[in-house]
Amino acid sequence: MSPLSSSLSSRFFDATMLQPLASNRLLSAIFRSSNESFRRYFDFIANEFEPLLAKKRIAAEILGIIDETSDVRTFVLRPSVNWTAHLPGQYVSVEVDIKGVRHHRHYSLSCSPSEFKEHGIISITVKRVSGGRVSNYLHDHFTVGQLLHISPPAGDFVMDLLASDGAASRDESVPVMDVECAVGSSLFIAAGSGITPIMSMIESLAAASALAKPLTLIYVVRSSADVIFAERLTEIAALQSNFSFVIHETSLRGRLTKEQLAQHCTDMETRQIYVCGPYAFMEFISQSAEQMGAEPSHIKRELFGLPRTGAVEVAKDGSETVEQSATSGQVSFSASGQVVQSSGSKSLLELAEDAGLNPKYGCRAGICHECKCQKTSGRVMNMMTGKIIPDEQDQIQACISAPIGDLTVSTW
Amino acid sequence: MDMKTSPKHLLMVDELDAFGAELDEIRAEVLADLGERDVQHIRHMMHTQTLSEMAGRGLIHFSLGPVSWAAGVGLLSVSKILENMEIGHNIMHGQYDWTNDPELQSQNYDWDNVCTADSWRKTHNYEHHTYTNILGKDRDYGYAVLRLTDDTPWRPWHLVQFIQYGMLSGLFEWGVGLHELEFDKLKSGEVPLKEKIPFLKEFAKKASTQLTKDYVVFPMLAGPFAPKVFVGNAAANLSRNLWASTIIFCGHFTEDAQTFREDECENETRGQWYYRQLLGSSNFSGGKWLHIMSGHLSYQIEHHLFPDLPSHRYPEISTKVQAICERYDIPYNTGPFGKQFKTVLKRVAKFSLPAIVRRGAA
Repeated sequence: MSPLSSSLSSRFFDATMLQPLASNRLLSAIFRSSNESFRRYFDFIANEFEPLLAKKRIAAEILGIIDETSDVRTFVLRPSVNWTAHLPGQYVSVEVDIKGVRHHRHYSLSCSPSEFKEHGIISITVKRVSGGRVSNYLHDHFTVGQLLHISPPAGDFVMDLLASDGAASRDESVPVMDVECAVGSSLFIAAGSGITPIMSMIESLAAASALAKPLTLIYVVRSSADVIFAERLTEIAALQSNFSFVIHETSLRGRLTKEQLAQHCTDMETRQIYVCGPYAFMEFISQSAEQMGAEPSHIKRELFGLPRTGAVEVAKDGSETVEQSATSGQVSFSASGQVVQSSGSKSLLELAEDAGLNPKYGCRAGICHECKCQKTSGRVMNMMTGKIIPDEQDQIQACISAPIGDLTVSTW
Repeated sequence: MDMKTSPKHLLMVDELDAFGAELDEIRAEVLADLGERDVQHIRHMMHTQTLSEMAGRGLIHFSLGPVSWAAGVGLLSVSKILENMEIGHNIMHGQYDWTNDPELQSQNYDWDNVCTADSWRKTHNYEHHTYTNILGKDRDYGYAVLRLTDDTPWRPWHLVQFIQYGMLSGLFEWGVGLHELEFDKLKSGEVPLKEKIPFLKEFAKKASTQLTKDYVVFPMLAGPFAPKVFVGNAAANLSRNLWASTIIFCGHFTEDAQTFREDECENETRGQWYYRQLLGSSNFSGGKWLHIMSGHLSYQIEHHLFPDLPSHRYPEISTKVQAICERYDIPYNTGPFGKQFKTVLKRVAKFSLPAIVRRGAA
């Protein structure tokens, strides 16, 4: 039995059905050499007949949906012709239109890049987040055959490869296919859905006929029912003698302690360590690992799950309002590097001007939209209505937006 | 606020506050209801526009006779009108910014017009929509070439202002594109030419892209048939210009559309601002496609009250606005398209003569 036997492609259909879309290169060449008008026509026609040929955005057809646990699903996707293979550990930004509003969420690719190279497929694995708009929408409204739109792969939570002298480095010249030969002893530590980027790394390494270096996974979950990829992990462990994994159930054994960590991995100082989970979890793991001799530069982290801050009240109609006292904070304008303090009473436009910037504006009364700017983090309130502007809306009218707490704007 | 042309409709300040609050409520209702239906509308429009553009350009290229060529010109005209009026104009107003869709963002969109998107948003969204019909501040009022009120001093060349009107209509996109140049202020020396150089550079870039597309690239693709493509594209641009100008003139220059003095509008409240928008704008009635082809500027009143609400909502908003107007005894200026346009022509004719001459003749 080959290590690929129950990898993604074989889990739900005959992979020979899948061939990368033909004449991709020719179409790309035509597209690149044409002007904007023709590109528009091209995408228009493509979207009419075969959306996977469209060029401006990356479409992905849902080929299959796998229930991993009661609240986690893997979406197997066939991306359009302009997709390029990812590096294990990278994510995509998934676009979902809900009630006319486009939302973006990052989801890690959970498969090996070879799935795309050999079968033209990729996968993302999505856990329902309580109250999460996009994750629940993906679970409830998407079925096989529908299209999603995704970004190109992104993120630098990828495996460091060993150079010939044994020092870790990320060498772009090492082909991803040979990744298993160039990776040193590794320790993967995942909490909950943090397993997804790590699964992509493990799958890409497991594709090798025999793993040269030890590979350990410590997987922290609430209970055994929450283990994603359980069968596949068992299978890889049976095929690869150098791969081992341990599942730590917090419902049985409490939080992972430093001592337990030391038991699971006795040679911390020799390992490349990849941690993925909530912020506090990763802080704890990093500190513990360093105390056990791990090189700080050998620890890579990927944050899963962002904490919500601010004293926000949710009204009965679902809209959110905020107490004036909780609104002070620091406003950063990333284009200019300026930072100002905000008490919550001045508009973003006034604050930008206070910072000595020269933002574009028009009516200063919420009418003309000339002062639209790009919010990169933080929240704002519409001063005209007193309502909080939804987090998804990152283009905001500066003249009628008051920051709530810390805010970053990239436009000025 | 003192309305010189229609003193009988004076509203008290507290009445205006209540009036403003009622309009704010309409706005809030629509904002709360925005959703998929609005995206479907604009996407449907964009789809129809691209289809008619492709069919139009195709027919012009491969026409076998004058009939198929004319049909191509017609389709391309429809496409250009749809793109400028219902799609570009409305997207650039920020009507779909809430969708978060980069293709529907006011700050990203650029339209099929020689006017740069930046200049348009400045002269139209900001100046015209904020200072609507305030003489001396709304430079769209008469476009600095037409005399449409006795508050504009009469000059002998106003006698033949129908000629200027015809030229402005035929070359409308160029007039709009060069609006920011403020030619009258340059001539009087109020603004030095140096200040306008960045604008002129941007304008030249946009205009050359537009000219290259319609008058070089597409004609050349037709090889020996280049001339018919050249003429066809020019005809489509001309018909779009005439149409856009006519629609816009019906929106603010009908007989009863009012004008305002700068001093009347200082420190306006929201209610007063709404009131001025209402009195300075005029609607026209018609079928669904007349509204669409006018970019829903047939609901100019609603557009001026709520410039950033999706335009296809104006018909339903209009019913509510009319009911409010009735209660406050505010005139709601509307009528059939032909009738409204006739009053525009009447106004252009009327004010080509100085007041004293008109009184003498009467």
